Amino acid sequence: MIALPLRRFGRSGLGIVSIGLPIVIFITLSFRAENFLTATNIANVNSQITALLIVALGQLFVALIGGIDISVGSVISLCSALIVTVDPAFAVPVVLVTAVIVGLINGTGVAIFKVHPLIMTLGTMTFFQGMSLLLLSGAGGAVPPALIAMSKSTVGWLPVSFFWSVGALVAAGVLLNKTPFGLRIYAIGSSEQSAAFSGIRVTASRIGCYVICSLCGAIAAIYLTGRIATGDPTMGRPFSLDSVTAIALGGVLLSGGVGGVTAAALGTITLGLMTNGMNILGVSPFFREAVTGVLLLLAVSLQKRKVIGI
Amino acid sequence: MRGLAGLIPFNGGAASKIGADGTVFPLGRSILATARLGLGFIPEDRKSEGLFQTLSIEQNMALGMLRTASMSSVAMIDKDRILSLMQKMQVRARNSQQLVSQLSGGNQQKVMFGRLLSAGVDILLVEEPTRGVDVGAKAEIYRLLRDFADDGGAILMTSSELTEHIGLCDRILVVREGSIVAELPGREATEESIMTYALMGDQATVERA
Amino acid sequence: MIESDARPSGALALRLRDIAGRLSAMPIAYAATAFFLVCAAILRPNLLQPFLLMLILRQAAPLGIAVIGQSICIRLLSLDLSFGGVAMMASYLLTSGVLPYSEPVLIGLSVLLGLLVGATNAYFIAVRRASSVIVTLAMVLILGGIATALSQFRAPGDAPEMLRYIGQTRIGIVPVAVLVWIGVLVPMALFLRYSVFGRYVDAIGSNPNAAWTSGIPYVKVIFVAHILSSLFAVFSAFMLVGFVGFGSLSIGSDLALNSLAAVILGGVTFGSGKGGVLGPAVAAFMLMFVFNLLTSFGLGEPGKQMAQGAIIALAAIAYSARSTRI
Repeated sequence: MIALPLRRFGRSGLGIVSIGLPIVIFITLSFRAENFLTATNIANVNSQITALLIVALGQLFVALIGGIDISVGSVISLCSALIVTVDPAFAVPVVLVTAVIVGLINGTGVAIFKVHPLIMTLGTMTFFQGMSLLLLSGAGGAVPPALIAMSKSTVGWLPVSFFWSVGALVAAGVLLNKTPFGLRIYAIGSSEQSAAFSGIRVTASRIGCYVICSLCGAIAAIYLTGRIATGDPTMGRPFSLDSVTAIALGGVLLSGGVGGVTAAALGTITLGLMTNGMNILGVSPFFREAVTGVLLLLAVSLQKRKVIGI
Repeated sequence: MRGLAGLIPFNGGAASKIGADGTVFPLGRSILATARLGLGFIPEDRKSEGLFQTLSIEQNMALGMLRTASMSSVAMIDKDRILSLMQKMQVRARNSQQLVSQLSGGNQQKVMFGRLLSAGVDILLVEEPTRGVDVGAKAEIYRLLRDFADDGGAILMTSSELTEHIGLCDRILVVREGSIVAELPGREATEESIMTYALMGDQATVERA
Repeated sequence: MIESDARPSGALALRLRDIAGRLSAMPIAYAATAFFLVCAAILRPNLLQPFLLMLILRQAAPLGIAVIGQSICIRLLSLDLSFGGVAMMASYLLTSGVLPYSEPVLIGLSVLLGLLVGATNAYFIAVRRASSVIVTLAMVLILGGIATALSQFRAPGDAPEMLRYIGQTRIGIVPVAVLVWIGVLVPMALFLRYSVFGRYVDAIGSNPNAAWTSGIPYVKVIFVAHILSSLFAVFSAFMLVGFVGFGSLSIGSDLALNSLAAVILGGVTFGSGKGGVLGPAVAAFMLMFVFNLLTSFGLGEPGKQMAQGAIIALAAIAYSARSTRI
């Protein structure tokens, strides 16, 4: 049993591991990998992390109320397929509305019908993955130039992805820490019963979190589709588990109540640095997948739960 | 109590069971070890921690009989023994297949005892023996405990009702701030004497009325 | 007597209500199978030829075996989604020749793989208390990642002779695979019903807290369940590799999802074993039948996925709604 002080600082979820890990990896890579500290690479890392960051922030909201959303990857795939199949003028609104609908479905299943979030989102994940393939059988399609510009250009010497990241962080941070909604989420996450007894509308807040997560998926899809300038109906596949790994690495408790924007960000940076590092060091992308799996196992086994099983 | 049962670790100190021939078995290691040593634990919240609500009376009580059996072996369940236990405890139910959730509080508590009795334990650790039990069933449960003790078993009981201790227990141990401050014979104890020791420790002098 | 004019149909009505109640409490799979068989009879009667039905049964056999393991995990309030990864790894080991041993040895090693994966899953689930879904999904990433990475260097090859025998021959009109399925199903059903282990599964599923406090060897039971589950996944892989004749990386990729759907449809839900072992088995056949039906209507892979997802979500909702009504 690890006796490290893995104590978390209050509800933010930050701790030795979540802060130390990215730093350690950064330093290790700086010494071990030659191309790591170059401006191009750092810019690359930033762009790669952006999408994951947005999704992780969405996953954060769901995790804080004690749930999980593994359908977010399929939402990304679906949105990507939609962007290249519908009329370019309506691409963004259609995608956002679709995400809201998926979020509502997930939220209703979990909050109203009391289906376990993992089962519900497993079902929607499969369903919407099938739907994306129905819409778009393979990568292709034309992406509206406006979207490409929004995701690939540079503003001054900063890549535009930087602004996407910062924007997402600020929006999530404000929503979580400065609004009554955010406070309600923390309350529900720490003790659902007390929250309900205090008059908080648990069901509505819960559904709201799932909608936020799906919306984050949609936004990430807009960014990514613009970035690779093509639609990809399986684009979102790794994001479901990667986003959970990211927030777990950052110290967010999957049982709810503990976590914050910083934790999610740090975890994403850790995962992003690892991926980047493995890229630079020439490790096969499939081994990277295996390493992510190992990381996920380690991250969740460090979290204390009382329940055995699902 | 839970420490003795092996559910939570001790804060300090140790306990052991001494067999008839003098062998010493340390207690509190784990709940499985507890079972093997012939101790039975009855938690105070039978709904969430004690009974299997969606299973039948027979299934609940049978689990007691299987305590020392190996997982891969066939479950040998003596249905007659279960029925005779039910009768002895006066469990009011339609038959042994009835779901435990449909029984009254008193009968549910009896099923809990039944599970341990069928396991052949010789020491019972009981929290709140009659919580949520109606008056009639209370008397029956007291009788059960009394019979168990008279047959040679030992019972360690805690209860939030002081009067329960006084009528039932042979000895009453008063614990204050983690140590035993008094041991009163059951017959002579009164509510005042118990409370006095509880509040004032062993400095108390109690007037014999 | 006040009731002397009781309606003579009263007794019949009571009887009918009782039957209706009993029917609606049966696993959805039975009714659904009947429904789809009728659909096929009307719309695609050639699907109902005995030869084709046997073929569908053969297709269902690997799923059926995986379902047995999954149903035990689910009754224990756990879940195993790692089937795809286990199948991939096993099929790679068996066919790529990366380990230069004889066929029986490779088969033995695959079994060992199943035992190890099951034990690892159980360790993280029961000892570290991580969520089953996350642990088993992580295992898919690990096993799948390694298998795929290795296959870049050395591609999977032909299936071992023994497995091709199991997968492709038949005795009379009954495929060997189906016989193997039954050969695993029946002993497992008996084991669960009559052994101490089966009683422990009932108890843990009914009330995990009570099971813990009453001294049931919770952790051991979870280990056995997950080891069995992964072992059965390896058996499924054996069959699948046998069917196809060579190792393919997409073998068993939807085993996990389909097994979950089949178990839920078969009447086994988290904590309860009401469907027994037969319910999920029937549901496994039903799922395969439905997929074939959909294919005959021209619905391809995407449609299949949508069906899988919808079934899981709707079945879960239905069962949730049912239990809260009580």
